[in-house]
Amino acid sequence: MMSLIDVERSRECVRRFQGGEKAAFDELVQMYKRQAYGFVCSLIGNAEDAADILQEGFLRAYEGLARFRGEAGFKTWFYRILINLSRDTLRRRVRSRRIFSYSLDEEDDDRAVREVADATLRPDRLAQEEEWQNILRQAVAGLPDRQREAFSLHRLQGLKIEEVARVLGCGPATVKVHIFRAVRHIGRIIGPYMREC
Amino acid sequence: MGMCYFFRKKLLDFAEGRLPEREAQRLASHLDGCPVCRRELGDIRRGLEASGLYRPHEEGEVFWKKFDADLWSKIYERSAHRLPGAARRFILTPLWKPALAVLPLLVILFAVVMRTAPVLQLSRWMPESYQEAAVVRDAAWLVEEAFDEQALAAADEDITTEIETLYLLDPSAIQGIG
Repeated sequence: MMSLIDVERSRECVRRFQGGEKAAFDELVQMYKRQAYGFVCSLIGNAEDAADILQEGFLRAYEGLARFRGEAGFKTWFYRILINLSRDTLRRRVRSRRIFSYSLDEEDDDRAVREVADATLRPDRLAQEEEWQNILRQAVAGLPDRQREAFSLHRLQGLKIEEVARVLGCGPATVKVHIFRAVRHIGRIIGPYMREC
Repeated sequence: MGMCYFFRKKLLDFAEGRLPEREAQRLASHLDGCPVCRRELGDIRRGLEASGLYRPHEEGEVFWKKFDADLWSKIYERSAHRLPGAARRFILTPLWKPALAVLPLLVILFAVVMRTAPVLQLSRWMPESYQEAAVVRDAAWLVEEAFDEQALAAADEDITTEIETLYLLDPSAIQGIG
């Protein structure tokens, strides 16, 4: 989570970069890379692709930072780049491999719960932390794009609803609906495991 | 049950404890009599709990060192392949749009000037030194032209004389040529 000091520091780095001090970009990379990596991983559920997306995101930020006007914070702007890149990657992945094609609309939630539970329910291994995390990540990965993005930004990255709305380019009410559905969906998927535990 | 739609919207805020007390009480009393909403609230609480347990992917220092090195090499590589700043600005700056709009106007203006130039006698507006230079240039050109014409006429005359002489000497040769 970013503090006000971090926000001010990133703003300062952007100013220095725009003033010609290219090294200031490295400070931004160091500030955001870990957090952003976790964010991209939660979006695409794959660490290898996440590293590539993050690198491409930083490259685009480097190239576009001179034109960045600072109306939104750097983080908001950068996360929007990452979301666009993640969407492209997911679209390519769906086209090429046709996996993870859940249709998780309102009425399909129950079916998704059954599918995930049937595929990976192994109570003997649930005690293991890694397995639990995998199930959780799988649940997040199974969310529709918008819900996953809103959930990840708000619940995992700690952005406020208004900031999430700015990143996703929609209204706060829409963001709330996405988050509500995402949380409910994860609760439904995780439910059987929690009871097992 | 008819109010479920309105109450469900507030379940997330309720679960997170962000609902004002009065609304929370109303929702709680609805939940007492509505098993569907209760189940929904259970899912949301589990979802919130799970999201709190979510541990983001983490990588070691070795990974990040490689990441930084790769990133900066890519940045340098791309910077090297990019056009110099001035050229890029020239190409990317949307100057061509206004230029394209002005171009027909310039063409029309040029045509009008060319048409009206002799009538307006635009040379009147030139400084005197320019006018004198133009007169001298025109005079020189006229003299040159006159010389050329004279030379051509003389050459024609020479050829005619030669042909006449040849004809007198050998008429058959000229007839053969046609």
